[in-house]
Amino acid sequence: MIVKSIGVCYWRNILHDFNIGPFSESLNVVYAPNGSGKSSLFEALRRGLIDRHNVKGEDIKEIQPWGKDLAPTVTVEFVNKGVSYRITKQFIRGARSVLEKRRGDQYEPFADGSRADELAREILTKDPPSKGLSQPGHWGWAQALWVPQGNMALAPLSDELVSDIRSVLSVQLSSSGSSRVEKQINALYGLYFTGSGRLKKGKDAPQSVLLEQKLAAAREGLKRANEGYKSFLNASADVQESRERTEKAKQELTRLTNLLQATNSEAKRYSEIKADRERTNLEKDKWGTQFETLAKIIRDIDITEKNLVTERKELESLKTNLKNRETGHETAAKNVKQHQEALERLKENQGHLEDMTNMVESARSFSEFSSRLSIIDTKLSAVSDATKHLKELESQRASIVAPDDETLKAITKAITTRDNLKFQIESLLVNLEITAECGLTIDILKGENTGEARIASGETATFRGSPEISVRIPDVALIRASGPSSSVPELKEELRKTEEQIAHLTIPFGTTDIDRLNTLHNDAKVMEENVRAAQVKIDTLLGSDKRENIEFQKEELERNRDGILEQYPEWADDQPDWKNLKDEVARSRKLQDEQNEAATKLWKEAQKISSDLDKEIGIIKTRIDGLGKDIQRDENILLELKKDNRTPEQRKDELNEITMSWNAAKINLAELENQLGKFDEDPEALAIKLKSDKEQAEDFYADQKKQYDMAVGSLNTLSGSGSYSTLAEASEKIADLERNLAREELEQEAVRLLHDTMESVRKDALSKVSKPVEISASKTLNRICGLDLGQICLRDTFEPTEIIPEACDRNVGLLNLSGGEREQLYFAVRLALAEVLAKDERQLVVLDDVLTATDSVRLGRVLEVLDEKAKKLQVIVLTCHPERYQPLSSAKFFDFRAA
Amino acid sequence: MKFIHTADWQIGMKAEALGDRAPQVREERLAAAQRVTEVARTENADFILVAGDVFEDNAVDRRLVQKVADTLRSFGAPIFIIPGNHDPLIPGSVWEHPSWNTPNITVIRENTRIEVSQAVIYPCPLMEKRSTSNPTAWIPNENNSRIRIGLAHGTVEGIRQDEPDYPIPRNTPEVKDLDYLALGHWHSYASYTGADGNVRMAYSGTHETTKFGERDSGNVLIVEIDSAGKPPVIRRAKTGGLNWLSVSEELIDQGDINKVKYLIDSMLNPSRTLIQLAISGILPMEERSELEHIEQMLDTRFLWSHIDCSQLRPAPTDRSWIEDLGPGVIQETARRLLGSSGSEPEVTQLALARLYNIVKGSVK
Repeated sequence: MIVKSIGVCYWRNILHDFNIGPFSESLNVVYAPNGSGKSSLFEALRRGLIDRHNVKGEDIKEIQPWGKDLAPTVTVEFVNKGVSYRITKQFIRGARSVLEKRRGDQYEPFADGSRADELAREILTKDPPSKGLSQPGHWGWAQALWVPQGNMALAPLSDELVSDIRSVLSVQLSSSGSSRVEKQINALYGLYFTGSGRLKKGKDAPQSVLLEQKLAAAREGLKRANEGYKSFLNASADVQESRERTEKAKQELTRLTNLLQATNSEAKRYSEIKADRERTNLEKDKWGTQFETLAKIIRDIDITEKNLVTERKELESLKTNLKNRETGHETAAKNVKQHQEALERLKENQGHLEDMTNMVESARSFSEFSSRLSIIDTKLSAVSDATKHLKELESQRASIVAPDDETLKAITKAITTRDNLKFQIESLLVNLEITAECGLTIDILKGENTGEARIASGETATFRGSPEISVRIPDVALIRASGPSSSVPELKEELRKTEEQIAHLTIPFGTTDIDRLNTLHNDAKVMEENVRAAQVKIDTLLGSDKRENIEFQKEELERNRDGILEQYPEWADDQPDWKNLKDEVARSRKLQDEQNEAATKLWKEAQKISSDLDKEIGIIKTRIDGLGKDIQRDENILLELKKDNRTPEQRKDELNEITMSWNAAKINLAELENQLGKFDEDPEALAIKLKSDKEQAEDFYADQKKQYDMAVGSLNTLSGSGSYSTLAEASEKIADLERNLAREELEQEAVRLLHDTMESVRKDALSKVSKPVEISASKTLNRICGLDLGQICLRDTFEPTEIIPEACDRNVGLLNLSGGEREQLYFAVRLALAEVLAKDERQLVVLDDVLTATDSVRLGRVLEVLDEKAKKLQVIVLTCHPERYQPLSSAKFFDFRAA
Repeated sequence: MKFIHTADWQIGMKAEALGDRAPQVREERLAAAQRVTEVARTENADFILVAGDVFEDNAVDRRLVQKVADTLRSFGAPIFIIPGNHDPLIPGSVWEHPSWNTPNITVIRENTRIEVSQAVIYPCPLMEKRSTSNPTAWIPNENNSRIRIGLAHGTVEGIRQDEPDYPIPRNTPEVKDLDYLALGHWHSYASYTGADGNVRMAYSGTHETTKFGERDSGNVLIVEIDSAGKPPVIRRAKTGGLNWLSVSEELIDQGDINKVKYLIDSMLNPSRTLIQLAISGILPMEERSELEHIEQMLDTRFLWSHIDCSQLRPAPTDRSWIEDLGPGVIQETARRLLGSSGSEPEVTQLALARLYNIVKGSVK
C-alpha cells in the first residue's frame, strides 16, 4: 500500500483544510519547522487508516483543537494492490467513515461506517486496535514500516506481524507441491479442530463430539438401568428376608397357641386344687376354732372354781381382822382427845407472851424516836444560824454597783479606741506656730478655725489644720503649711461616737474612770465569793436533804413518840430499858416453846396410831367389798361356762372328736399344698402372659405378612420390567458407542498428529527464515557503518538482540553500541523487514524526524540506501532539516507550511 | 429310554462386545431353543432335561420368558428344568412367571425324586447365585429297578476356579448310584468317564455359542439308556446357528495381505458368522488400501467383525514415497512420523497413512 495524499482539518493546531500530495511512489520529504504540525500529519495518517471512526476515550479528544468543539477530519488517498481508494474519517462530533474506490477519474462510494474502517484497517492489520493506537503493537505492518518521531527502536513485534513476515518468508522456502498437501492437511485438521487446536463444537463438531454426547446420554441410561436392576435384586432379597421373617412369625404364633392351650389346661387343674385348698383351709380353721373354744371353756371352769375357793377363804379371814382393828381404833381416839386438850391449855399462855413482846417493841421505838428528835433539833438550829448570815452577806453585795466582766471589758476597749483616735487626730494636724514681733492680724484661710485672728507682739499663736493651714498676714505674707492628706473630720466623727459609747456604758456606775471602775468590779467580786461560801455552809449542813423535809421528819417522829406515850404515859418521865425487857420476854418464850413441843409430839403420835388404824380398817373393808364382787363375778362366769348343762366328761369327749377332725383337715391341706408346689409357676398367670404374647405374635405376624405382601407386590412390578434386558441393551449400546468413538478418536488423533507434526516442522523451518532478514539488515548496516559492526543477530520474532562484530570473538549487546549506531542498526532492520513485506507490493515507509543522532557522513550513506530501497518502497520523510535530505535528488519535497 | 440333555441357554444374554448386533445374537439363542425341541422331536426323545441357566438372569424381559415357555410347550413331551446359578429360584425369579403353568413343563422347585417313564430323576435346583455346597448331596441311595438320573448345575471338581462354585464330586455317579448325571454350568461339552470305563456324567454345553473361544459349544446331547445299570449311549446334535471365528494372520512378505483378503472373501455363510481378525506383521504403505478393502468386506458381509491391526507395522524400507516428496515441510513431516517412537503406534501409523493418501491424491 502506498499513500497518494493526506488531508486534515481541525486537527490539533491545524484549524483549516490542509492537504498534502500527491506523493511520489518512491521518495518524499515533507519539511517544516518545529511545531508546525508534521507529527500531527503522521498521527492523522495512522488514525485515518487504522483507527475506528467512533473511537472513544481521552486520547481521541486530544486531537481536537484546543478549546474548540470541532470535528477532526482526515482524508487519505491510497493505492492498494493497484486500486486507488480514498478514505475519509470524521471523529468525535458527527463521527463518520467513508471509503471510496476510484473508477476512472472519480471516486465512488465503496463502504461506510465500521465496514469502511474494517476494509481500510485490513490493509495493515487484521486485529482491530481495541486497546488504542498509542501502542505500536496495534499498528499491524505499520509497526515495522512507520517510525514515530525520534523512536527508531523496534518494540517487540505483534504476533500478527511476526506471523505475516514469517508467512511471506516461508512461501519462499516451501515448494509449490508441498503447499497443496499442507492445505489438504489443514483442511482435514479443520474438519475436527479449531485454529487454536480445540475440538470443534456446535453444528461443525466432528463425529467424536456427537458420539461423546450420545455416550454421555447412554451412560445415564445405563446408570438408570443399573439402578433398576439393583432395585430388582434388592426387592428379591427383601422378599426372601420378609418371607423368612413371616415364616418365623408364623412359627412363633403356632408355638404360642399350642403353649397357651396346654397352659390353659394346667391352669384349670391348678385352679381346682387352689379351690380345694381354700375349702380345706376353712374347714381346718373351723375345727381349730371349735377346739380352742371348748378347750378354753374347760380351762376357764377349772380356774374359776379354784378362784372361788380361795376368795371365800380370804373373805372370812378379813372379817375377823376388821373386828380387831375397830376395837384398837376406839382406844386410839380417846388418847388423841386427851393430848389435844393439853395443847389447848398451852395456847392460852401464848397470848400473854405476845403482849410482852409488843411492849418491848414499843419501848425500843420510843427510845429511837427520842434519839433522832434530838439530832434533828441540833441540825435545824445550825441551819437557822447559817441562813441568817447568808442574808446579811447578800444585802452587803446588793449595795455595791459595779460593772460585770463583760461590761468592764467593753468599757476598757472603748476607752482604748478613744485614746487611739485622739492620738491619730493629733498626729495628722499641721501646727503653725507664729510668734509675733509686733501685733499682727492674721487672716486664717484654711485650718481648724478660719477667719481673722490677732496676735499681739511677742505672742506666739498656734494654728492647726489638716491637711493644710493657710494664713495670710496682710501686707506681709501668705503662709501655707501642709501635712498628710488624711481625713481628720472622719476621725473626729469616729471619736465622737466612741465617747458616746463610753458615756453610755459608764452611766450606771457614776464614773468614767477606769481605775475606779476596776475597784468597784473587784469589790463586787469579793462579796459574791462570801455569799457563795455562806451558801456552801448551809448546803453542807443540810446535806442532800432539804430543810422542809427535815422539819417534816421532826413532826412525824414527834407524832409517833406521842402515840407510844399515850399507851405508856409513865415513859414520859422514865424512859424504859427496852433491852432488859427484851431478854425477859425471850426467856419466857423459850419455856413456852418447849412445853408446846412435848405436848404436840404426844398428840401427833396418838393421832398417827388412830389414823393408821383407820386406814387399815378402810383397806380391809375395801378388800372385803372387792372379794364379794369377785366371788359374785366368778359365780356368774361359772354359771355362764356351765350353761351347756354338760358334765366335764362329756365336754372332754367332744374335745377329742374336734381334735381328730382338725388334724384330718390339716393333713388334707398339706397334701393340697404339696400338689400346688409341684407347679413351676402359676399357670394362670402364665396363661394370661401367654395370651398377651399370643396377641402380640398375631399382630406381628399380620404385620410381617402385610410387609411380605407389599414386598412381593413391589417385586412383581420390578421383575415385570425386565431390568436385566434393559441393562444389557444399555451396556451394548455403550460398548457400540465406545467402539465407534475410539475409532473416531483414533482418526482424530491421527489427523492431529499429522497436523501438529507438520506445524512443528514448519515452525522449525520458520525459525530459520529470520536469516535472510539478518543478512539484509547486516548488509545495510555495513554500508552505513562499515564492516566493524559485523553481523546483526535477530530473534525468531525479528527483534535485534546483539551484533557479532567483525573483529571480536564474542557477541555484543545493543546497549554497548553508541546512540547513533543503535539508530542506524534499527534503521537497517526496519528496511530489511519492509523489503520482506513489500515482496508482492510496494509499501509505505514513514520516517518522522528520525536519524537525528546520525552524523553527516553516515547520513549520506543512509540517503544512498534510502534512494536505492525507494525502488521498492514508498518513503515519506518528515523533517525539520530539509537540507539534510537535499542529496536525495529523486525525492519529492513538500513544504508543509506552503501546503 | 432316550432323552435330550441340554443346559445354559442363557436367554437374554448381554453381548457388549457385539454392539448393535447383540439383538440378533440374542434372537438366535431363542431360535436355537426351537432347534433343541426339533432335535428332541426328530429323535423321538421321551423327555428333555434342562440342567440350569435357561435364562441369563432373573430380571430378563418377561416376553423372553413367554417365548421360551411357548417354544418348550410346542414340544409336547415332558420337559424338566432346574433353575441354575444365573436364574436361581429366588423371589421374583423367572420361574414365577405364569407361562410355566404348562402341562408338559416341570420347573423343579425342591430336591425331590420324580418318576418319569422308566426312570426316576433326582433334580438339584439352585436357590441362590453362589454356594460352596454340593447340590447333589441330597440324592439318596435307594434300591429300585428304575433308571436313576441326576440333574444338576455346578462345577465338577477338577475344573480350575478361584473358589468352589456348587462343587460336584467327580465320582458322584458311582457314589449316588446314578446311571447318568446331566450337568449344566460350563458352556463347552465335557464328559467324565467313571471307574467302570463308562461315561455317566457330562456337560451338554450351551445350545448356542455365547462367545469367541468356546470349544464344542452349540450342541445338545442325546442320551440313551436301555435299563438301570446299563451304560448310557451319548451322541451330540448340532443346534447352534452362528459361527464364531477367531482368525489370526501374520503378513511377512509383500502381497500377503492379498492372501488374507482371499481368505475372508472365500468364507461361507458370512451373514451368520461373527469374526475377529488379528493381522500382525509388516504392511507396505501401498498395500494399505487392501487392508482397508478387507475392513470394508468384514463390515458389510459378516454378521459382526472386528479387525485388530495393533501389531501391524509399516515396512521399514518403505520410504520411496517419502523421498519422492522432495525436500520441504511435508517430507520432513513424513520422516518424523515414520521415525516416531510414540506411545501410540496406531495413531502414528494412521497419521502416516492419511499423509500417504493425501500425497497420492486419494484424498480430495
